[in-house]
Amino acid sequence: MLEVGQEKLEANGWVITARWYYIIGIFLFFLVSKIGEFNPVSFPFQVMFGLLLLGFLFNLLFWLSKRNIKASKNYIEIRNLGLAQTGIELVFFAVIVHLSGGVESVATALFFIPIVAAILLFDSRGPLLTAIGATLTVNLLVLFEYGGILRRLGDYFGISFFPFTNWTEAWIKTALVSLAYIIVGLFSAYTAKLIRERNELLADKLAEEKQKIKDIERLNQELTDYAKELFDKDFELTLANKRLQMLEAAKSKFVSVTTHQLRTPLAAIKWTFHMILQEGLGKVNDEQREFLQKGFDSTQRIIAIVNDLLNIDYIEANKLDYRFVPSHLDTLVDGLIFEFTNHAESKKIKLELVKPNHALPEVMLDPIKISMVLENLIDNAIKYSRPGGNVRVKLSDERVNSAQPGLEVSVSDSGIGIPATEQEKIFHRFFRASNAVKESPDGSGLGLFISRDIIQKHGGQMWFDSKEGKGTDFHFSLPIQQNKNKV
Amino acid sequence: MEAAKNKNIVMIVEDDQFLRSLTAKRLEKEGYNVTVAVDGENAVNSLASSKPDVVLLDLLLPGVDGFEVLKKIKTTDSLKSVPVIIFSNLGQKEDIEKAKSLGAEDFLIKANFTLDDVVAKINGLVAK
Repeated sequence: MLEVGQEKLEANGWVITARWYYIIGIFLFFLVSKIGEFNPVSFPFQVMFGLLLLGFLFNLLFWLSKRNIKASKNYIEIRNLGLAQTGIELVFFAVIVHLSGGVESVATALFFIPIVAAILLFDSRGPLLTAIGATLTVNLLVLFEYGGILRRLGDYFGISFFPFTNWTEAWIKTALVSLAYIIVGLFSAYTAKLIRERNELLADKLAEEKQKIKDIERLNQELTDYAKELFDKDFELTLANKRLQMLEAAKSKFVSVTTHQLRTPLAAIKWTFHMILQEGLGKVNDEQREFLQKGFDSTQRIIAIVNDLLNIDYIEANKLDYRFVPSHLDTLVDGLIFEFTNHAESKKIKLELVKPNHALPEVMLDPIKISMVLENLIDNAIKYSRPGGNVRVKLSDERVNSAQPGLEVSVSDSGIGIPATEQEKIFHRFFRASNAVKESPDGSGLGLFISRDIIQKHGGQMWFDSKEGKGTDFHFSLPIQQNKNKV
Repeated sequence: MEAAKNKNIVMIVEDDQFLRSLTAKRLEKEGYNVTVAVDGENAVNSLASSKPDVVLLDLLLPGVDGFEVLKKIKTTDSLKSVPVIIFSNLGQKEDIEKAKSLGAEDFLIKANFTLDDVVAKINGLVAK
């Protein structure tokens, strides 16, 4: 990890910085200790000052080396700097210990400094190794001092060394000091290990948290993207919907304008045929009358289709408004049967009405719309029945006491029926069964579509049973309002 | 063709020339005096002078439309008692209701009726 290199480099920096202060501290300590004049021979002031400058010089070198290590990835350089600092410091302190009176002096405590500093500079083994280094150093020093080596060296330079005589006492003291070094070293190593473990734990936690933050950021980004997408979609849909509405309005306008405009010339043609047929423009012979009548009938058919188109546009634009009033369905049906009787007779078809003997409850309905439905069904039944057939309109109140109370109307014929394969399409607009087209070419295929829509708007249902060649039964139901008790 | 029984005046307001002439012809045959207006403005201007007994009014007219003409008739004191039959190819519920609320006597959709029906209506109104 990059952080380790960076951390060690910084640790070297702290130790260097700390050293500026403790060099001065050590110098002042020995300066103060000279006031007591307890050891007049050793550690002359000039030597102390010289060592101070030397200490500064070394530290300056360390500082420069540290500054030269640019990249925190240069682990080896960083480690070497740490080793150099520790090694040179050990030697430096050995000199101070010697000059301040040998291992008996308090200066042996100075070795605790590099041992503790090793916690920062190296890994957990650093403090222990440094403690061992310190132990070796003081022991070598004792060996040199009492072995006469240093004295001979002094003689060589013309310096007189104070006498080192009590060899045994010196060794005991050295052993104690060494023990202290090792204990502090072990303790520091343990501390370093703890710190390291804690750092690792923290680093793991930190990495975990970072990952979590990353995950959250990613999720957040995804959410933002989705939200944006959703917003875009919504916007698109709104636009599409608006376009659709405009298109619908345009279509509706087109239909109503064209149909209205179609009606004018159609009226002119119709009136003309009519006027000629009424002999308003002179006598008409039978052959002419036959053809004129066909022309008149065809015009009527076109007008009927145009009217259906207008109606369907009305239904789709939801413009057809309903006026529901409480009505007697049986009265309505009676009237229609009366209207159709002549028409049925002219086709030699028996038209009959079947209804209960008792009075039927009132139903909320729009009489004009329901009449349209009944007219359509009865007209179809007559149109698609053969002469001699019969059409039966049946009113039933069997479901009055059921969970969904209602009246039921059926119109049954013995006509051509609806082919099984075409039955599912019978309520589609503009759809006409193939046999119906053959039987009667006029018709828009809108009647049943409109009828079912009207029944559904009343809250009722429309359905049928049919067998091709046998006949068709159309049924519809109209719900009875729950508040019928007001009658 | 002039069976001048009771010279009632019928005003036909109709922009389609052929329909206008057919209607006029049929009504004249029935013995009415017919005046014609080819658009709304024409109708409004000639109403006071022609003093019709019945007005047969189309709704879709260039410029001033039939509803405007109807409003004008029904808000003018000297004219408001004149019955107006709307004779148009508009025929949706709201058109019919609007015309009725403005005071129209009846509403006939051209394509759905013949001139005989119109004559019957006018005869009924004049007889009152």
